[in-house]
Amino acid sequence: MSDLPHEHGMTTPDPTAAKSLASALRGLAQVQPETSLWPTLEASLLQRQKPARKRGSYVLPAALAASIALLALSFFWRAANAPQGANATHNDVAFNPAPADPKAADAMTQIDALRQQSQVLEGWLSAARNSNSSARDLLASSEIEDMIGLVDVQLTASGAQADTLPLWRQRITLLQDLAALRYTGASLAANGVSGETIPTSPTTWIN
Amino acid sequence: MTGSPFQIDVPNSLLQRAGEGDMRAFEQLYRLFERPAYTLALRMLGDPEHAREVLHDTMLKAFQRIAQFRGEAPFWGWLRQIALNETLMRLRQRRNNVGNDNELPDIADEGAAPWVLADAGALEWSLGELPIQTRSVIWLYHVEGYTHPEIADLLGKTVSFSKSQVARGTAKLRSLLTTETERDRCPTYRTSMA
Repeated sequence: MSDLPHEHGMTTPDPTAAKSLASALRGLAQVQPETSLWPTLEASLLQRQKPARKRGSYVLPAALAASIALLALSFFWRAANAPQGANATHNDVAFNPAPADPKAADAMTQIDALRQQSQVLEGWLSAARNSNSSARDLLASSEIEDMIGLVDVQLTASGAQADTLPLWRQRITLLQDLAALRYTGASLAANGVSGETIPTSPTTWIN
Repeated sequence: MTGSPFQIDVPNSLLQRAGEGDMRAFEQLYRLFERPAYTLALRMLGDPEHAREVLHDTMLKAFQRIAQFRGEAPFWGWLRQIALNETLMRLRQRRNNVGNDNELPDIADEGAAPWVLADAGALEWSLGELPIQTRSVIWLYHVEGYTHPEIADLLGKTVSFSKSQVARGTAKLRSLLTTETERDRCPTYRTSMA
């Protein structure tokens, strides 16, 4: 604590007084909320840990529609990533030189593939945005988008490939959930079924 | 950095169970760090509702990301960083709303240390009277043990700013507590307040 300032016309504080202030402040009682937050946290965590059980409560048409949507997206993604000739391959290699470590190369290849898949899904989602969604689905969409935002923050902060790869996988899973949700809402609306009648919409997606 | 209220040793077995999604392990971690996280947020922000939000969001983020905790640094430091980020995020939001509240007049910081004799209530009151940013710097420096360069980095300010906030805040605390102590000692004041 010898680095306290001389500027701004301040006198140099007494180091003993500074130490005693630290001691006095540390001596203040630690506090806690009037009511425990644990029950709320526990509920949130349990909800995120049990996606499979809630998915089972979807009505059959919704599940079928979601499956069809994912199948369609899968075809779309494969078509978009089909070989485009020697130039395209050459450019890819030029921008992504292969690292010497085979494991790192494999991780980089997987990340590139996931990044492309992510772009395709985002393109589809952009086109399908807010099409005849129920209020409940909009809320679920919003939650998924928040989670994607959280993953993006972690991706930005993450430097090592070991961290990046699972994050990209998580991002794809969330995008697929969002795509399924949007497709289901649009499909049901097209068939004259109200989304509000479905027991629950995916607040069920988090891994 | 020594003596932080967060500095609690956590058994590896507990962290491993939490990493596997064991809800009871999460609860134990919550109970261990509930007070340090809430206290940090409350002392810096001065608002119980915002402190609750910080505690909730800190714990939720920590439990969602616990699989990413590599154990290279102590768990308490990792958790404190999340709590501090959450607090600083709200501090920035509030600073934007209330404008620049960190201007304190220059007060000579000399004389006796009234906090030695002050009771906890008076010290808490005087701390609450400080501008939010000054209070935060004082708390990070004196209680959490951050250095001036670290505080400057956290707040996006200069080292000089951190030093001057500590000096001015200390002087202001001295002034507030001295006045408070004199009031307590003055029979006329006590009678008029009764």
